[in-house]
Amino acid sequence: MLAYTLRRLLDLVLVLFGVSVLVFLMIRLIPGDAVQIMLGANTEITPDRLEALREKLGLNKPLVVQYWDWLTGVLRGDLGQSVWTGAPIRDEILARLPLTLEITLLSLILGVFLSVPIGILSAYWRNSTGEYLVRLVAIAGVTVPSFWLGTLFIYLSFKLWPGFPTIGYVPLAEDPAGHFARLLFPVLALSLPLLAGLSRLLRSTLLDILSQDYIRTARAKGLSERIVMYKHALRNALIPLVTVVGIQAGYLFGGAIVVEQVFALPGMGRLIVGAINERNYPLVQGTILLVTAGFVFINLLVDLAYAYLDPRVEYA
Amino acid sequence: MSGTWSFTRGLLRNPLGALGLGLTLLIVLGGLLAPLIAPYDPLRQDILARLAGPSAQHWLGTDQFGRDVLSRILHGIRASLFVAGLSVILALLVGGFLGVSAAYYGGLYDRLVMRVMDVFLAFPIILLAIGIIAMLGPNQANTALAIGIVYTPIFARLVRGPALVLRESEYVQAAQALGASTARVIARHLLPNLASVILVQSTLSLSTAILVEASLSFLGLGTQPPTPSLGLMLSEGRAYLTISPWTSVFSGLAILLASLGFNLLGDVLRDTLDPRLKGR
Repeated sequence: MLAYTLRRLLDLVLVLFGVSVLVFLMIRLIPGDAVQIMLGANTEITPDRLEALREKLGLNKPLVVQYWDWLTGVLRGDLGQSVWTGAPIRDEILARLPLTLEITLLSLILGVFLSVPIGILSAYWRNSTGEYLVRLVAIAGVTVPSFWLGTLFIYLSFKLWPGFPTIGYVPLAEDPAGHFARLLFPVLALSLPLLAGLSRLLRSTLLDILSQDYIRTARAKGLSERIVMYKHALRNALIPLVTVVGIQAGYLFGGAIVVEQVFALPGMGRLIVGAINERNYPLVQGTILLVTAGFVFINLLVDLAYAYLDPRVEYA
Repeated sequence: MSGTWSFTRGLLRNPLGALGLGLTLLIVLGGLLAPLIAPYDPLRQDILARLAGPSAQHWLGTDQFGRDVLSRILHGIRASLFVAGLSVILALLVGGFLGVSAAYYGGLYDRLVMRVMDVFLAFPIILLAIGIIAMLGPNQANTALAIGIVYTPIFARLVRGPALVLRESEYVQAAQALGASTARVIARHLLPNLASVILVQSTLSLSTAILVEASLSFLGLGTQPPTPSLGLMLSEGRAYLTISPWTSVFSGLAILLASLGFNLLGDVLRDTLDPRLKGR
């Protein structure tokens, strides 16, 4: 396990290095003069201003030196400054990140917890109608656009319960009830596709496991169906769910960026779309780097958890 | 030909396969024939008939400029299929080439290629696409390029595994022993055997590419107005949601049906082509 952990850590360092190079090259690979584009989106272009911005971003140094300066800055927690406001990018991201993480996490929890009973119930429904219907609903659930679902929720709540707060944001400390009321629909819209995918996965894993010899043995020795399902089948069926959850966290975060726009929530979505519109490339860079690094770590943790939970995983 | 026919029959025997194929045909035909079958010019404004509900003149109503929603949706599907199709073809060509060549040549080249693919896979899909569009600027071609780049590693990984097994197989070695060129071995012996995994993945990728394109357009980072685009229509319609929800409701429904059709088709194809993977 130790050797496996170390090897995965080495993988992680290599992947993060690659991610950092790609993100670093972003501004440098922009067709045309990135500095001119950034400046042109916001003020009049003058040679002095061009030179000043180039100097500020360090774009007049050799590429390797630029990368080194940037990387050592990032490792010290310095993601640079926002081009227009001059505010540290780290602070801008940290101000927006908690809300997006909250939405992502709540959706993840809701999706995972609901998928267990739905997966179990649907595993008992094994005739051909059930088979087709479960599959159709699961696939429809996975393909339904969350931002459409969110829009429908807003419309329906307007029709059915006009006073219910659907749009905007209230800090938790100010009004906890209003805070969670406004997150209800975004979280529902975001967790439904996850719920559909996880339920289907759990169902098919359960069906595989229920046809195994050790389940037959358990039933043959007279254990109740309850114990067979919960103690023998479900425990093993939850393991593959763990790996998928790591990958799904990335999708959910991406989905949250879009869904935030539907509900006018001031999270990472608004930050990055705003940054693109004003050509604030360093902010786009910082956001992508930080979020991707976060997910690389989460997936490492998921892999390690998987190896720990399932002794059959080879460490080779 | 008889092979194709029995294959189609197998697909249709599954109700979900029939549904998926039907939806896919409907969407593809609707998109391709949009200029011919759309009842109105998707850009023509009729200020007097703004924000109208479904009627005999406008089956799906009109938007805030009095443009016909059905016509805009048909053209939007066309744009969406164009972007999704182009991106999957790009990912398939580049990813397929990288995966097969990595498996064929092996060694340092293989490790290098697959490492780079790992790096691309580390990014959350939407975020990488957003980053690429931020660099290149938002328009249809760049959206297709961005989604294509994001999907490339998926295809590279997909074909590398089976290609590795095939490379060691006796008939490939026999072909090499007979002096077949690398290109010939890859084109005649490797690719045909990879066709089914590629077909399934392409179909499923089209389904998700439609969703990614719609998400990007919804954020204003995809197709630009006034060109009809499903994501953009849904986004613009939200301002008038309480007066006239039709634009948002129907454009979202079109995204769902397009994505659902390809996904059902891919899902059933996977069962039909590989009976070992009986999907549930």
